[in-house]
Amino acid sequence: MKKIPDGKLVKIDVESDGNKINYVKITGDFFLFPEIAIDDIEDLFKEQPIPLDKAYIIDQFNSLDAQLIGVSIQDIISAIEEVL
Amino acid sequence: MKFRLIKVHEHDAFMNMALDEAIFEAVRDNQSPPTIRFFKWKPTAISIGYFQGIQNEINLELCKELGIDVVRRMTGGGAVVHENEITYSIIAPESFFPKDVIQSYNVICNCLVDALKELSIEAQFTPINDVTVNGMKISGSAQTRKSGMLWQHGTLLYKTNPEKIFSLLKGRVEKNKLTQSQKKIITCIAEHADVTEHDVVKALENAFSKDREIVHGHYTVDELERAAILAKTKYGTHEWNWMR
Repeated sequence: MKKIPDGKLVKIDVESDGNKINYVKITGDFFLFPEIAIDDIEDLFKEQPIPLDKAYIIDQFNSLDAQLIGVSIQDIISAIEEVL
Repeated sequence: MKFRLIKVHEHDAFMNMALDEAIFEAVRDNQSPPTIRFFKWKPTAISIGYFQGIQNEINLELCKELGIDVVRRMTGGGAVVHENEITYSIIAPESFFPKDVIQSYNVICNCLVDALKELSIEAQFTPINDVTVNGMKISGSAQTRKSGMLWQHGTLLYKTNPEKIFSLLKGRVEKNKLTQSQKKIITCIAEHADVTEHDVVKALENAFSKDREIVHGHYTVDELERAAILAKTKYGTHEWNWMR
């Protein structure tokens, strides 16, 4: 769980085999337009090797045409890294 | 900028969210004008944000014991206990508002600031989506945009029962621990002004009507029929409310 300074709360559920991520669920009181893009964001992390390639994930997120408010993709990556 | 204003009505949680979506669809399809709506919730309900985990956030056992409905919103943001408050929604083309999301929150939340001013309460917009009085939250809002439309709803607290709110919202307690906040963070109109709920509704209507051409109206038959379907097939379902 991560409280973003001046922002919102992000909670992460993650499953990994130690080498790669199997599953990520992102919950919290942030905003995302369109909301349905949360599924795409969670999918970005599936099968990603650990440690995470942040630049690749940010690049993939930018291609989604989605807008996060109250939290950034960097915040989400950081929250996932804290859980791993 | 002509808006339909629908005076305050009371519905259950599922119908309230269904009416919002039915109006959204009707405005999007040019079947209804842009709409401002005020409403209350009966029985008492909790709405959770689109991205929140229902089990993480809500004391579901206590809700069941107290007969409190829980519904997931189409918008993000946090959980809200809908009791002794007035909820608004505003649904209109995106082009009516600033493109920047925070600026559009500012424009709409300032209607709440103006309403509170009419009640002699000095409040301010506090980004991202709150209105505060002396640093304490008195109103929270949530916005989504889709199909070229802006849809925002929010709550204005008339009275509060912090003990009850904190007993129902597990997530709120966790957030306070994280911010290490020991101070009072929520306030309500009744703590600042000796006014009736009717006065509050009137002030809201006046504030939302300012600088807008207002036509007083009602839900259309089509909106009510569509809302009844959405309440049954979406907002009242386990599949939707337990989505996350």
